[in-house]
Amino acid sequence: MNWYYPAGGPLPYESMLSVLIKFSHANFVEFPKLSKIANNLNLNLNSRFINNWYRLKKATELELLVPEFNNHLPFDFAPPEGLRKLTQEFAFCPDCIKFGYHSVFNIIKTHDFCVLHKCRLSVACSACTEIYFYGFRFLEPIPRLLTHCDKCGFEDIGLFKEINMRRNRNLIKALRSAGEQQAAWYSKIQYFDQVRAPYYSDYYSSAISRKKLTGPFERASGIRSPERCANLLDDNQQILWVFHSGFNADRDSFDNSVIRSHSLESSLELIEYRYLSKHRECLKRANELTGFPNGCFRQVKLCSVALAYILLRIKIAYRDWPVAGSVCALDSGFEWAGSVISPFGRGNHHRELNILFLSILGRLQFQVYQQANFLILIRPTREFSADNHFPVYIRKSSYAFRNVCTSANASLEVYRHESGGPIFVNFPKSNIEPHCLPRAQMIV
Amino acid sequence: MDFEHPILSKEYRLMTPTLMAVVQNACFKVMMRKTGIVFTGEPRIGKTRCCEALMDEIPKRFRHVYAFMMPASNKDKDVHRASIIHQLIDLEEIKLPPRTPFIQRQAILVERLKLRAASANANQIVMLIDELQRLSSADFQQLADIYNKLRGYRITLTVISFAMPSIEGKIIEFLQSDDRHIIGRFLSEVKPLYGVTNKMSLATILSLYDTDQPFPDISSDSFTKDVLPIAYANGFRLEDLSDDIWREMSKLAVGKYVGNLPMEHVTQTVAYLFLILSHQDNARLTVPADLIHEAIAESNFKEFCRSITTGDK
Repeated sequence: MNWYYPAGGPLPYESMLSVLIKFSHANFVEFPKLSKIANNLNLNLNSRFINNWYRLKKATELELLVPEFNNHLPFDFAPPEGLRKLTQEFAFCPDCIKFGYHSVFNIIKTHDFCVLHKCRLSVACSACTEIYFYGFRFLEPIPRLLTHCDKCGFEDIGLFKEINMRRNRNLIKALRSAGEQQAAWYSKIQYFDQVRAPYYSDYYSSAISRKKLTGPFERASGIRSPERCANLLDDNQQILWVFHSGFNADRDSFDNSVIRSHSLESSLELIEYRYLSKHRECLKRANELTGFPNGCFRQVKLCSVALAYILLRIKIAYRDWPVAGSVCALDSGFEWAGSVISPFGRGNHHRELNILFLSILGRLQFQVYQQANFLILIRPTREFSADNHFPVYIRKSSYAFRNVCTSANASLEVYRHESGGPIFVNFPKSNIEPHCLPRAQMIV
Repeated sequence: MDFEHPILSKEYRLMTPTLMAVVQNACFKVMMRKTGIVFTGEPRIGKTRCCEALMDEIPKRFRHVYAFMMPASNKDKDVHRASIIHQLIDLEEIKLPPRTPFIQRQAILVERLKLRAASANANQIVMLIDELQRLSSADFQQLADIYNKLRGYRITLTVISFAMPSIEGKIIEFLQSDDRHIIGRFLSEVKPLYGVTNKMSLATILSLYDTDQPFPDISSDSFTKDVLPIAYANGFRLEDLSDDIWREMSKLAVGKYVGNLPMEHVTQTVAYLFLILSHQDNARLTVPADLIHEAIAESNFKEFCRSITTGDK
């Protein structure tokens, strides 16, 4: 059987869904029949369909038609849980779709931009999903009467537009070049599955996590991220990957506390001495904030170093903060510190707390530079847990940020959100009402 | 002489004056975006070869034209039933469910032709039909429908066909049934094709065997030089046999083949001569008259003429 597909096969890094839809239309084959050709696959566009694509490799007839077969499947670029369910969320570039192109990278859940057109992806409406994603159907008129959706901007993925576009060699080169850049990035990220596992799963979990992790991953991989290629990344903080020794039962047990020579108190004092000597007043004011005395509303100007230090202390003392009923946190002093078991074990080392402090400070800067109000929550994280054996990243804070409290035009306000609520960093110029919870959160 | 030699396997094309005239004429029609032209000729004079030559030449000369060739047939016993849509869909290897409605088949075919044209960046499609006389009247109607549909998408369909002279009967049939639009589109220009019409033409054709580079795309020696290198080096040329071959074949020709020798039998005669002479290659090679007679007899020309003209076997 000779199947028809334009000479040259699918476009570089075109998604397999797009290829199959075009194939179905070009050969007037409905998806159920196509599934017989494709090794009896169930070609329904649900999540199972995505998983079934693994088996497409065995569909030799398709493989012959589609050179560089794996480049059209998303599995070399993201874990299965990091892929979109196409019937629920079909993301497409409004400019690419005009010439019948849908990139394989658009199937990745957190990939929401087009590197080629440097724009955000749109999501097809439910009507388009119903009409256009099932390939050729005998019941529909030939050619289709409607090919453009006014609601979501989706256009029918067809060969005609693509064929016209194929004549533009520069565009094909651009598609290939952009595709190779992205493929290199995602392939490299796959390697982090073994060495930076907590971050790897976070990276594909949500757009916010991805935004936080893109810079660190760029640093670790030495490759420009797709976001940066698309000029959509404004994260220019310097990043450092470090190992901290974490908790080791043999080393950190009561019987053998020699190696961990510094106590929690002494480690914290050292941090105070090193970073907070010029911010004693700021620390005092910030302590009042976390203490929340008498239920009175307190608002202070942001001092990044003091706030980071307070967050460090709270993280050491509390597993989760705030929680229901946790009206006040620690206010000042460290008389209590002797009875606290820190995340790193009973005997603490300077370096580990230092890493945690600098990490909080750097992330605080990252969050502030997003120019949006945000809440700060203390939650258990694997990266600073006692049993972490993975490297962690530190965002280096800038001098200007560390001294934001001394700046004449410093305007950021910090207060507790509602009574006993989380710490809230407010941009006074933003339009968000103070009583509204902001969407952005910083998890420490 | 090797069994696989192009002369025996017939995998060669002689750019005969007739073939070149057809190519020139057809390409002019394509250039002028004419709707159709029909070349008619007796059996075995080389119509299909001309059609194949056009299939090669048109894409070379017109980069933005999509050309395809269809050997027409009528699958149904009922000669009035149309099957051209089915034939074209089969040609495109589109597998449709058996009960697909005709209108849908037609739409699918037009859609595929549009795709083919778009792939070639073409707004003109050249359909080369061999054995046009085998199409029924209804087929012509459907062909006109395809023409009109493509026109709606700004694609011009040019139908270049090759047929037996009996196609003229079809034209009369359309005239009687007042289907003049069919004649106007596809059958308004009927040009007769002939085989080898005179001794000079035969000499020209035979000289092509003596000319180097018989295949335009491949650099190689002439067939004569390849098969008979010693004789060729000493001045032997196939062209010199044109008088004898013409005389002997003309003696046997009857009916429509008088002064119209079929190319099929000319090439078979030449192939036989090369086959026999390849074993006798020498500096003084001569071709006896009885060998030429034998070669023509081997081509079965006499029986062919008789059976075609009188129906005798």
